[in-house]
Amino acid sequence: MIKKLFKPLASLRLTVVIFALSIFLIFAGTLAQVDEGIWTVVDRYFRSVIVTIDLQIFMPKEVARIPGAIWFPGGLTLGVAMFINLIAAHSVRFKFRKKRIGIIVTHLGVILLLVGEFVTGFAAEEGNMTILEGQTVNFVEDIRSSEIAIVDRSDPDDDQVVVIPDRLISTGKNITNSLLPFRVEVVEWMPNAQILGPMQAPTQRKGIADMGAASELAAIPIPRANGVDGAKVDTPAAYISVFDGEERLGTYLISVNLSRPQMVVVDENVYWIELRFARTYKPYEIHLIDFKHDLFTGTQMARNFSSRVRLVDADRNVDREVLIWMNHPMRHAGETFYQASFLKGDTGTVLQVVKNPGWLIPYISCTMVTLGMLIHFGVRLAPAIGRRSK
Amino acid sequence: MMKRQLIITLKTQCVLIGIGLTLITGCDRNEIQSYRVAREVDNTPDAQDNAAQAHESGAEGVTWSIPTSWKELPTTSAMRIATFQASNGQEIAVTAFPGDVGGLVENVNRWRGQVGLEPVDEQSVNDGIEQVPGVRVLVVDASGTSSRLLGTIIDIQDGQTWFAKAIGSSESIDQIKSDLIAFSASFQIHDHDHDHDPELSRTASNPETTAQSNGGIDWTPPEEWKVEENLSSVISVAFNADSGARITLTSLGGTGGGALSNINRWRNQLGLPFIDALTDESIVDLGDEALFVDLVSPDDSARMAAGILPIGDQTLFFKLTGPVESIEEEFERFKVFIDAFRAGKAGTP
Repeated sequence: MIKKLFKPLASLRLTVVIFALSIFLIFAGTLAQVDEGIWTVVDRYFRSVIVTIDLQIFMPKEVARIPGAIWFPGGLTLGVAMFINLIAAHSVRFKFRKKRIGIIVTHLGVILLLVGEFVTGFAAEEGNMTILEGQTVNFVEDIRSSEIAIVDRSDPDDDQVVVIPDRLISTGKNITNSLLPFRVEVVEWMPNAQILGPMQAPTQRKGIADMGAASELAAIPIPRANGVDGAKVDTPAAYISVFDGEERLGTYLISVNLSRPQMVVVDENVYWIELRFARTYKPYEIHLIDFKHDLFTGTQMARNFSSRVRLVDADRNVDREVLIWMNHPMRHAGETFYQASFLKGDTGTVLQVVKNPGWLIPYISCTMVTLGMLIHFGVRLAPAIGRRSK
Repeated sequence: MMKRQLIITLKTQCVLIGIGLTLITGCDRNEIQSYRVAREVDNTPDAQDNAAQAHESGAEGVTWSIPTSWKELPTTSAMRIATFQASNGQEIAVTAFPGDVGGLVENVNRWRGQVGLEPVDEQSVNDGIEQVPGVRVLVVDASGTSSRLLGTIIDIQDGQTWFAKAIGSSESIDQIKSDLIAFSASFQIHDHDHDHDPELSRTASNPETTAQSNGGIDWTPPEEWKVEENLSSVISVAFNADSGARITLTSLGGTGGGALSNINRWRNQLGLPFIDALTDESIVDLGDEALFVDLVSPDDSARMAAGILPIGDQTLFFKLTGPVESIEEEFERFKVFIDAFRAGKAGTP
C-alpha cells in the first residue's frame, strides 16, 4: 500500500523537474538581490510556498522596462517536494545491498541537510542587543523587522505595551483592534526612509505630520538596502494618523531613526508611540559594565572590541560577570552572544544574539555526503582494480 | 483504474502538502500583541550625572538653569537645541531660530494648530499671552481638544528667537508650568568676550586668527572677502566678497541630511529638476566622498556653487551664492577655500 502511494512520488523524472526548478529559483533569487535585501530574498524566494518573480529582474532597468511577474514554487515547496521525493524513492526502491551503501549514506546526508534548513528556517532566531555603558537590557531587537509600539506608562512599575508588527502595516491601511487604545490609519508606510530636517525636506514632503515631537521633520522613502549593499539596514518610517472614534487627533511621523517615543493624548490618557525594531523580551537581563575598543598603538586600527557584562537570570539562578570579545562569545540558555558592533564614541556595545537549534546539522550532513561519496567511489573502484589486474 | 487511483492519491497528497505548508508559514508573528514589561530604568552614567549635577548648562552662547526635577535627554532632531524630561515624564523641547521666525502671531497660531485649535487674529494673540515680568518671555498656554500646549517665546537679544515647548495632558502641563516659566526666564547670553581672553574672542573679525582657529588649516581669506558677523547659529563662518557674493561654511553632524537631498534642495531653489543619483554632470567627485557642485538656473539668471566635505562624524557644507557675475569672480577663490579644508582634513574646524 505504502509503495503504491509513494510510487508516483518516487519518480526520477520528478527529481529532475525539481532540480531544474530549484536551479531556476536560485538563479532568480540571486538576481533579485540586486534590488532587494538578502533577508527579504531569503524569505520571499527560499522560505516561501509560492513566489512571484518580477520579470524585470532578468533585465537591467536601464536597458528595458519589463512589466509583469510569474508565479513560481518557492524554496519551501521545492525543499519539501525534494524531501518527499527522496524518501519516496528510497521506500519504493529500497533494497539494502553492500554496493549501495555509499548512495544511501549520501542521500541520508542530503535529507539531513534539508531537515537542517527547515529547522533553521523555522526555529533560528537572530537579533541584536544594544546596550549603553551602565544600562541593563532584557530584550533583543530584530533589525530585519519593525513594529509600532504603543506604551501606556500610567502604572509606576510596569509599562503596558501594544505592538503592531510591520507585516500588518501598509500605506492606506486602517488598523483597529480591541487591544489598541485608539485607531491607527497608515497615511504612508516607507520600508526604508531617510529623515530630513525642515531645511532639507522638499516642499511637498513638509507638513504631512502635524502632531508630535517629530512634526517639524520629514521622511522621504529611499530604495531598500539590497544584497550588494553589504551590512546596510533598512530604517523604516511611517506617517500615521491617530483617531479617537471618528475624530482625527493628528498625524505623526514615526521612524526607527527617531530614538524616543512621542506622546499621544487620547481622552486625557497619555500613550507613547514609536516605530522600533521588533523586540523580543528575554527572561534574563544583561548589564554592560564596560565597553573597550583597543587600537593598535599609534593607529586608528581596531585591535580588539570587548564588552564586560553582568548576566542575571533569576529563573536559572545565574548571576555572573562575563567578558565578551571578538571570537569569544558568551553562551547562555541555548543562545550565543557575539561582539558585533559598538556605538559612536564607544559609549555602548551591540551584541548579536543567535539561537539556532539546528546549527550543527549542516556540518553532520556535509560529512555524511562526503563519506557516502567516498564509500561509493571505493566500492566501485575495488572491482575496477580487480578487473584490471586480471 | 489503478492508474487513476494513483493520480488521485498524488493530487490529494499535493493538496495536503499545500495545506501543511500554509499552516507552517501561517504561524508567524503576524498579530497585534499586548504585554506588560517592567519599566525601563535609565541608569546610564549620563542620566545619573544629569540628576546629580548642579543644573546649570546651556547651548553655545546661551546659558540657562534647569529645574532640579528635570533631566536632559539626548537630542536626536537636528532642529532641537535641547530636550528635557520632567519627573512626570513630560517632555520639553528647546529650539532656536534666527530672527523672529515669522512673528508672534504666526508662531502662536502654529502652536495652536498643533493642538487642533483654529488660528486667531493679532488682538486675540496679544490677549491670550502672558508676559513674565522683568524678562522678555512670553507664555502661550493653549488647550486643544485632547491635549494642551505650553510654550514660551524667549527673546534674549542674541539675534535669534528661542522657544521652549511642552505638549501633553492638561494635568501633566499643570505640573510643569511653573518650572517651565522659571526655566525660560533663566535664559542669558553667555558673553564670551568677558569670560575669555579678548584676543581669542574676537576671532570672527580677525581673518588671520580665523584661519588659525580652523584647526591647522593653511588658509587665510583673500582680501576681497570680509568676515560676516552676527551669524545664525547654524553657519560656522561666512564672508561677504567685494563682488557681492556670499561664502558660507556650515558644519552639520552626520551626513547633514545626505549629499543628494541637499543638492536637490539647492536645485529646487534654482528651479532645476530633482535628480535621482549623484551622477549629474553638475556634480564633480573630488574623491574621499567630497563633492563639488556648480548649478546654473535654466534661464541663466542665478548660479550657485557648493562643496560637500565629510570629515569624521560631521559634514562641512561650503556655499557660494550671489549674482552670476560675482560668482564667476569668486569661483577660483572659493575652490581654494574648499581645497584648504580638504588638504587639512586631519585638523577639523
